[in-house]
Amino acid sequence: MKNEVFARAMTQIDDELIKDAHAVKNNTRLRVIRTVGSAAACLAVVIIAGILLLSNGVSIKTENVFTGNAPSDAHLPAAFADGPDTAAYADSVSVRLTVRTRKDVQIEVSDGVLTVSDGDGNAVYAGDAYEGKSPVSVIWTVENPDEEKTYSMTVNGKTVRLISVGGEWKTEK
Amino acid sequence: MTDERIIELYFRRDESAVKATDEKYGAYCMTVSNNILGNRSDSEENVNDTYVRLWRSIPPTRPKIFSAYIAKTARNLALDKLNGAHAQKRGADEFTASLEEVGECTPSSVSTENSAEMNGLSAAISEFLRNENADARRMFVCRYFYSESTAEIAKRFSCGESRVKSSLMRTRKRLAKHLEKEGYTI
Repeated sequence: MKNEVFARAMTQIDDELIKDAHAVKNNTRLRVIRTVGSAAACLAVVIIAGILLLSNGVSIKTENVFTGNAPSDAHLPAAFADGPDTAAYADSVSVRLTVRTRKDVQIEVSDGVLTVSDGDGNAVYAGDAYEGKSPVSVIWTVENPDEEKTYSMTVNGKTVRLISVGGEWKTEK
Repeated sequence: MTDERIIELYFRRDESAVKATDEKYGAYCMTVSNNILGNRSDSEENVNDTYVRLWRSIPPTRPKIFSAYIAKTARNLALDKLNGAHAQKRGADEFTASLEEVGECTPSSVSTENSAEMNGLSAAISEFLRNENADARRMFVCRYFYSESTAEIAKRFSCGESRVKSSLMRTRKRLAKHLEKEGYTI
């Protein structure tokens, strides 16, 4: 008999160990509860995933809002630092934000200029309407802003407003 | 009937002790035997031989855990049958499979002829199992003492077979390390 030594040695282990092993009975009720519980958990995941997929899940994070003579080159993607679209703005307000979405990013502004960098920090766009892959970093600059006016940016259907409150520019979603 | 009362019948040499044992533990003894021998007729013979051995050993032995004593007696007799001089018996498929599995934790330096060595090995295995977590310990005993299949163990523990197999594999590896630390050569 192969490995008879082990078989014989197992025969002589402590009685408590032998009795304890069979203390665990086949618990059909517990198995049913676990099976039903697992099925319910799977169903919940499917429902939540469906809701998330159907919803327009987009994350917009405003990093900062700054004003001044010009957004410095440090704020601009390197590819645009010396380009024609980076003329110093005498008076401007800029919003830096990060956009993440499950779908492609679509950004449009009513006023101002978008400068867009991709997730690797590469400059990809300058203009007033952008469409591309997520995530992106955006600097939205409005030249000579009017403090009486509300400026808006639309990101995949969600609106970000730029308004002046007590002389200070803020964003609201 | 309680185990204490059945054992008392043995001590009083009352033959109803065997009947009481059969009523309470007959199916249990049959399962232990059949899981090793793999056929009904040999298992029935083994059950009867177990009762004879119980009658002859009690007294003087007074088992503390009667069910374990019966299982050990039945198991030893079944192993003897498989190992008999003229035996061409192969044993139950699951039992044979379980013996294949334990090669990685079987000491090469121990002989079944040396009872002191065998007792030492049993004690080392018992000590190891006592320090294992409950499920791992119980699964190990169900597989390598009771020779239950992994499917039966999975049903008993309300889990998947793959969990049983991976638990057994990890426990075997830990046992091998434990036995090597105890000075055994695997």
